[in-house]
Amino acid sequence: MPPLHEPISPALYLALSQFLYDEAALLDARDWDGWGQLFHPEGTYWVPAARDQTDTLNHVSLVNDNALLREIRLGRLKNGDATSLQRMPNSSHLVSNISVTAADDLRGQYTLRSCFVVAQFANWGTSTFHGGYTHELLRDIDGTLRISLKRVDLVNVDGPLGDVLTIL
Amino acid sequence: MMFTILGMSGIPQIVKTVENPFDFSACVRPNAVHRSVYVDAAIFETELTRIFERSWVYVGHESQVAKPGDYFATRIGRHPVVMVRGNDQKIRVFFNRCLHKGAQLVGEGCGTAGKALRCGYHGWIYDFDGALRSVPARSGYDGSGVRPGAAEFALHSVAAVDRYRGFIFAKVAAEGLSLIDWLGPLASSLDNFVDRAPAGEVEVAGGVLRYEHACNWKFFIENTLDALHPMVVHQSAARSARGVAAAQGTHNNALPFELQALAPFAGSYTFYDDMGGRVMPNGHAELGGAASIHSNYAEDPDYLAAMTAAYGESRAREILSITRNNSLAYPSMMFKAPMQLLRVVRPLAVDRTLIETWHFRLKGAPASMLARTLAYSTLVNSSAGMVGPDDHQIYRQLQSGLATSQIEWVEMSRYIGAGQASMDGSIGVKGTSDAMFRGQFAAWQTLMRA
Repeated sequence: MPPLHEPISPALYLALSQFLYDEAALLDARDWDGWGQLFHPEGTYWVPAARDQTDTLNHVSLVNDNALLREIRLGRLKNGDATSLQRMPNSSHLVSNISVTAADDLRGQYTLRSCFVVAQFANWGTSTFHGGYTHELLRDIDGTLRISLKRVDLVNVDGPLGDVLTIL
Repeated sequence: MMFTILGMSGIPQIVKTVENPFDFSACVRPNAVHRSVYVDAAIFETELTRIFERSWVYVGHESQVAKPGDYFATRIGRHPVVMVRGNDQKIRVFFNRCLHKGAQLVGEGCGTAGKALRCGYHGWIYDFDGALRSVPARSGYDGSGVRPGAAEFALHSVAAVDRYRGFIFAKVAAEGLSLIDWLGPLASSLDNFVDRAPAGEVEVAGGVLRYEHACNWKFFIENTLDALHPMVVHQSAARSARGVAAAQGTHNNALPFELQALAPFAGSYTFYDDMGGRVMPNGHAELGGAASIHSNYAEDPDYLAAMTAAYGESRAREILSITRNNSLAYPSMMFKAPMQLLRVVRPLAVDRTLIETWHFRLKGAPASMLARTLAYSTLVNSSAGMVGPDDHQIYRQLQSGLATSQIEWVEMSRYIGAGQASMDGSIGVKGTSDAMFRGQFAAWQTLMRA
């Protein structure tokens, strides 16, 4: 995908930003199926376990969900018998500093960088996660944007981490 | 510091200080353990001294310090330590504390020192063998003992450092068994860990997971050998995985690895009982043998070929036929030989524990083997995984449940008296036997003696 040489149109920026806000709203509403449907069938939800991690084969990850594992993860959130999910996590996803770092209108491919703050209330208290998102989006034949990659880089990824029970 | 404990008479007694030569034997009965061992802060402080200083504690792997000057800094109980390879290739373990004002010399984790270890406060410099090489503005110390090479100002070493098949252990206290005697029959499982490499060596690879737990350290080590919990605690992940697998409608061997890995977590009581376990001296124990949650994974033909080429078919089969769920080197190292990973327990407070998961590459094996190890760990050991957080939730409930002093004892009588003694000093038990916990507390009782 070519890097961005000129500013994209305000309309496109708004549409892409709105996609991120909509995703955040689905997670905060615990609409797990709705969130799953945002993904392209080949799409990945990835939380690396190290700063600047480049792949998932030579380094462990915190989450590396393809469609299959996403289905299991969402199944766990939905079936209600996970020990750690007896109280379904409540979350607030704040997305900001959105920039479109690559855009190919012809192919319908876009890369977005943003910052997030996710508050998770689960079990015994509130945890807050900070970091950056990278979204690689792909426009379907029917015009719908789908996630081909959602990468979550936690600022404290190199330090000890507590439970991440919700989807970041 | 005051704390109460139930005495032999069954009447709570006051023990004045931790320093008192108090015998903690009363905390352990043949079939039960007193709640205080999990919740009493004074007992925890005593454990740091008596358990973690008197045991061989796993520090790291020799591959983490491959070249002179490479170091790995961690903790043994309350002691910050640094393992460093010297110019003579010898691996030493020092207390990570400058002899000047006491600052920690290097930060935790792996690193490489150029030519020496230099304190970041006043610039005292140490050779990799611990000798004080230089101090800035030295003339000011004329007439004092501070001078390069002064034994008094060399880095302090732990009492003993030894290794087994590349795994480095250290002991803070001088007394006690040699490493090989302390490991006893458990050494054969470390052999199995390393023998699984076609080239006969393993190395740390693939990064580390650090997962903070809000619980006592003993809940974690006990749970790795607890075969009565997976079908309850992990039913959610296993059920979700089995549902997805059923929808795929394919034979186990053709399923994606992650589904093969998650499904056995919902294994039956018979499955877990039959896999068996071994209880060994010094608190060591392990779950699984010829069968385990890892024994039914599809074989990797390239790996099998590499193993056969290295060992011959029958020896390769023999090595791969041992698939233990978890092996515990008491008190702090748990390894999964068939998965090439190990977990280290680092006690932080009576109700706070850091768990590290380290991964290993089998030298001479195809890259797919490391990828498999990492996929497993991402799924199971990650703090955002589908297994670990469910265990952690139970540890929290144990910590808060045991807060009540109205019920004193924690039960551990399952299959008491049953077991098959072996020539090597281990006892073979059923997979769901509490003998693995009784063995840990027998060691605890011995170590906690003044």
